[in-house]
Amino acid sequence: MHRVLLPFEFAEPTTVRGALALIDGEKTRALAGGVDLVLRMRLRQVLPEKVVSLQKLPHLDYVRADDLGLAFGALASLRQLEASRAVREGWPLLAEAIGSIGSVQVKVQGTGVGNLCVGTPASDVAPALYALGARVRLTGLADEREIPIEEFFLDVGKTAVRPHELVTEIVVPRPPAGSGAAFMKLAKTSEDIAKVNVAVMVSVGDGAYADVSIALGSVAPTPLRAVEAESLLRMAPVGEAAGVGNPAGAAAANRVSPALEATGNPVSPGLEAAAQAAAQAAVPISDVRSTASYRKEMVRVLVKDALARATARALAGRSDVQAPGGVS
Amino acid sequence: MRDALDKNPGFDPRSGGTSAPSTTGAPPATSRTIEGEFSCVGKPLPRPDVAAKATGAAVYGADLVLPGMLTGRILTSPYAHAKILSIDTSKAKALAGVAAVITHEDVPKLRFTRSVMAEGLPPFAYEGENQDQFILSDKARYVGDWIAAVAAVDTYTAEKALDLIEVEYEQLPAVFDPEEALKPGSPIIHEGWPGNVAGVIDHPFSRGDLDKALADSDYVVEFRGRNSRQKQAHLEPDVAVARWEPDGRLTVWSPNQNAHLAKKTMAQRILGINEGDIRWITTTVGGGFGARLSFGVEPVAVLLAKITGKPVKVFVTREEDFSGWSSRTEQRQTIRMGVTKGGTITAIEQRILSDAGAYFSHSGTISAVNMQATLGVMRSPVVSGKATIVYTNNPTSSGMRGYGNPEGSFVLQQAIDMAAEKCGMDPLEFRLKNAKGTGEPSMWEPVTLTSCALETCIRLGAERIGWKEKWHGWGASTGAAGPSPGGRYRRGVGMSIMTHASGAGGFLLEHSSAIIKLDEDGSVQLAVSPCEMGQGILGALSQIAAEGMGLRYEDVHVITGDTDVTLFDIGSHASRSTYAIGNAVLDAARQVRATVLERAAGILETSPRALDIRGGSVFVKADPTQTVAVAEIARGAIYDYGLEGRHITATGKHQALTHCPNFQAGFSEIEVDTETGVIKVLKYVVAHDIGRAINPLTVESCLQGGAYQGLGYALTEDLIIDEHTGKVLTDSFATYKMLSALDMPEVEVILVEEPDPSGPYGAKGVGETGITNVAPSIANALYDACRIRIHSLPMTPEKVLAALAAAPQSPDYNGG
Ligand SMILES: Cc1cc2nc3c(=O)[nH]c(=O)nc-3n(C[C@H](O)[C@H](O)[C@H](O)COP(=O)(O)OP(=O)(O)OC[C@H]3O[C@@H](n4cnc5c(N)ncnc54)[C@H](O)[C@@H]3O)c2cc1C
Repeated sequence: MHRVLLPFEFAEPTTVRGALALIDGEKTRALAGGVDLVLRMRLRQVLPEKVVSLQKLPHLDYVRADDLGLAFGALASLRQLEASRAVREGWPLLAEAIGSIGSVQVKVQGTGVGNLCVGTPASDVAPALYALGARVRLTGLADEREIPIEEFFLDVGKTAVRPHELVTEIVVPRPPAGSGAAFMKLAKTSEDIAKVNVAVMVSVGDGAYADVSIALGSVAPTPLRAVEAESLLRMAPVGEAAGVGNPAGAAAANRVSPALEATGNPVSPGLEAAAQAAAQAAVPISDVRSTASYRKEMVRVLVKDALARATARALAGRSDVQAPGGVS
Repeated sequence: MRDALDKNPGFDPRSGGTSAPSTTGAPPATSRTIEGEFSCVGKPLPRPDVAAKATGAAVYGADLVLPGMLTGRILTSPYAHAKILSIDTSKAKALAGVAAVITHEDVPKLRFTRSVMAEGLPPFAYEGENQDQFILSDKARYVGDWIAAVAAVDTYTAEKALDLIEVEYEQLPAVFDPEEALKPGSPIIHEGWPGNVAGVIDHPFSRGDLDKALADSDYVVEFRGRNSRQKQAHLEPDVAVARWEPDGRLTVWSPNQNAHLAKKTMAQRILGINEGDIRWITTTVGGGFGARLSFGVEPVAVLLAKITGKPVKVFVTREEDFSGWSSRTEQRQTIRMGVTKGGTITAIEQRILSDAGAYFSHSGTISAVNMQATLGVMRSPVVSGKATIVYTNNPTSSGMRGYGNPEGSFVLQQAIDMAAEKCGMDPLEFRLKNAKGTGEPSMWEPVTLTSCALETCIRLGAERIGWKEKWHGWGASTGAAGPSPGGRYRRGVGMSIMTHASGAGGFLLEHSSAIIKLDEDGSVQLAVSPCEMGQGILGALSQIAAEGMGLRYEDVHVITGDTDVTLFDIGSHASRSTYAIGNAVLDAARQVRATVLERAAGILETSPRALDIRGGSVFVKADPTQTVAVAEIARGAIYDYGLEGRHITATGKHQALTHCPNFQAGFSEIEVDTETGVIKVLKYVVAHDIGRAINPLTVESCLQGGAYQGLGYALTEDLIIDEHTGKVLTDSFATYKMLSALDMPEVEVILVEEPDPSGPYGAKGVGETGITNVAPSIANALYDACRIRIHSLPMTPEKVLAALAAAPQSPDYNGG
């Protein structure tokens, strides 16, 4: 066990091209907030010979929204994203997911892109971006490419970033009108990494689910879409599926505490079947945070709850997330 | 009583006295019946240490830099059980900047035990403390065992040197389960202890024919349970600095909780030198919670300093601390209890299997104290207690806040509820009926309880939680009070009671002294030995001193933690500091007061009895306009140009064969999500029999902090050890999950003040107690909500869900 970091070369380029010129292979690491990287360097899980800080790169901390969508740069912090009015109003699912991260310090220091680049399936940001259909922009010296986020996560700790590339931007399309979304997570404490998390987005039209996306975190080597469950619900009539005849459902649309929400809102067989299908898609492991069987079972419960909540929000027509404490 | 107090602000607590209970919720301490009668005691005065801690100005051991100081680091074993075939230190020694590399070959050949608190045991009891380790081990007995150490010019070099030490191990079969360890054929961890039995302790107050009593009982209940290895999780990781002085003496700086006993252990058990050859200085302690009742890295620092001839600072990382030598001891326990139909306890039996881990440390004393507290709270004609302590290849455990009580209470208090259910009695009434009270034997039976406000604690706590309205009763279907009766979310309430010693008189040396020095400006230097480790002792003792002398709070400065300056004391533990050291301080304060009055009487030309002191001023009681400042008397006493000069000082002491038990009731209200198994604590109420709250703000924070730690113990904190490798898997705060502010429920504190005749101004202890009732009251609330019982801590959602799945469902149950 060690307290000190091993020596490494440190560079702070001021242009993206300059940074890309320095990012040259396996022995080099980019540093955004450093929350994950520095800890791993101390634990000697990664031993880069060169660390290229992105912190001096100008204009990469943007969070921009227009009619088409949301885009944020490699240096946008989690706190910036969570606090952004545009994100809260247009992409409340993302704000809700980041809001579930208890540690404000981590959110101030850590970037959204860095969170994804760690490549952990337990990320809270990733499922929200999966459900929202986000894309990742990767920039190399010679070329630039954009891939769906589902192609970004390859395995535990492995992403699609090539040795000479940086992630420069995340692009998120605007959710369709009439949609509602919900993020739910179970963790030991409010500052812990998820045992299980789920993000769902539904859009409702003419009393039926027009579209459904269900993303699961922490239950497979990568975040994952519960495709089977989604197709079970697509085109299914909403009232029946969500049991929303119950007024408690709509009233509960924005309640923070799950404890009070699903109460008295019996879940219909439609959602239950989808939730079960989602649980089937999960291939969790047992570790210090939970057991495989608990995780699998909780996928069912959370998906069911999240679908009920998202549906209620879609029907209530409002789903903005409140600003976090200390942010106006 | 009020009259008497008015006339005599010095108030001799030994004359007894009671006051109606007062309570504090938030905001604290408003309705105190005795307020106004004291000038310092009973006031929520700011603690003297917190500003420096909050602003970062406090100097901790890690901040200490001495000229020429080296950094020491320790090489730990990667294996749980391994023979050391060879250690090659040549490459490490050859590294530039390395001053020393040491292994088991370089350590004194005296075996010792880490528990320095044990030095307070009477000699016959100390015999049972296994002397089973060297500073560096000759065999690896757990993952993290200390194999070698390095001193170098800086941390980087020291850690590089550690990487260059080549150890050849031969791995041995290891055993991690204490029941397995007892089986024949299990790997032997210490040659001197066959069968891995580290010790067997019979409860000294066992009595009666257990089998007969149980057979004759109308009902017998049995409950088995097991606590987790909760980690003290002090914010300051372990650290020590040692320097051998030019005169041959040794100075040690460390956050140890018992400086004088640490000095004794170091001198007598490790180095073979005189106690006077060591000066032990307690640095600012960044949290103790029992971890610092043992040696941490001090012996390594001392040895490296000796060998290099330079001061050495040794520190550890958080991961090393988690994988090391201090956590709550895991105890597997069974309680059997016999009761009559009418709800009278006829017999209690406790059996403990205690997992010491690789070395003995506190596992014996903690088992003994567990039995005292657990078997000592209820009245029972027949009592039987026995603890077996086992060596395993798990990390060494130690003492932790509550010291056996949170371990035992988790099991006992569930058994009590089960017995109450058999009798069809409200568990609150059952406890009232069977709990001991004033005049009865305390947990240490030769001692008689001189005060006990348990009944008041129970009644006030019950009122505050809404016991009458919320407790479902044994027959009723559960969850009725939840937002959806019988549905997914179920609510319940549960309770627990406890008794805890204030100090250790009777079973441990209970001896403290205090020195007071009245300086020329009327300010006071108070020298005491206990360390301020966050419990607020500097403030409480200053309040007692100021009150006792009639001075102002801000006139008192406390000097602590330097064995060359302070008088003997057994340290900060056993919820004793305010009670025991407070008595020593009050004794000294009264003597100073008497001296001041005597000199003032000369000046004011009256008798000392006609005088009083308040706010630093002596006045004639009959004519308060006649005054003389204490400062004037103090100055005059020093700058005396005749022959009557004297720097006014006094030494006070506390010594006792009693321990003034305090009592407490805790109540939890919870809501269980029966689909996720998540227990949400809605509210926790704790009512504590404090005797007198010297500083109600401090007492309340202490109980709030205890509730916080108790909630973590109940729900999330778990030192998880890999069952194949013995490695601690939760070795950082990223994986060992303590609660944050976001997770805290409402905690309400009630202080019941019925002064005990033996405490300073009637005060009793509180330090450890806040943690004890939380887990059992939640466990009992879980039964009230869902009719399930959890047998091990923490009570995770995974366990709750499994128990729900196994439980017979009540008819109206429609949850998942
Ligand atoms: C106490 C604690 C609690 C946490 N809780 C949560 C939680 O509840 N939920 C959650 O989702 N996360 C949680 N995290 C994780 C945290 O959100 C991430 O570690 C953090 O966001 C990483 O961002 P960063 O900017 O600091 O990345 P860095 O540490 O700087 O980088 C992380 C990795 O990504 C690479 N990288 C960074 N930026 C780029 C880029 N632009 N292009 C290519 N590679 C790049 C780095 O080389 C490095 O390998 C927690 C972390 C801590 C320490």
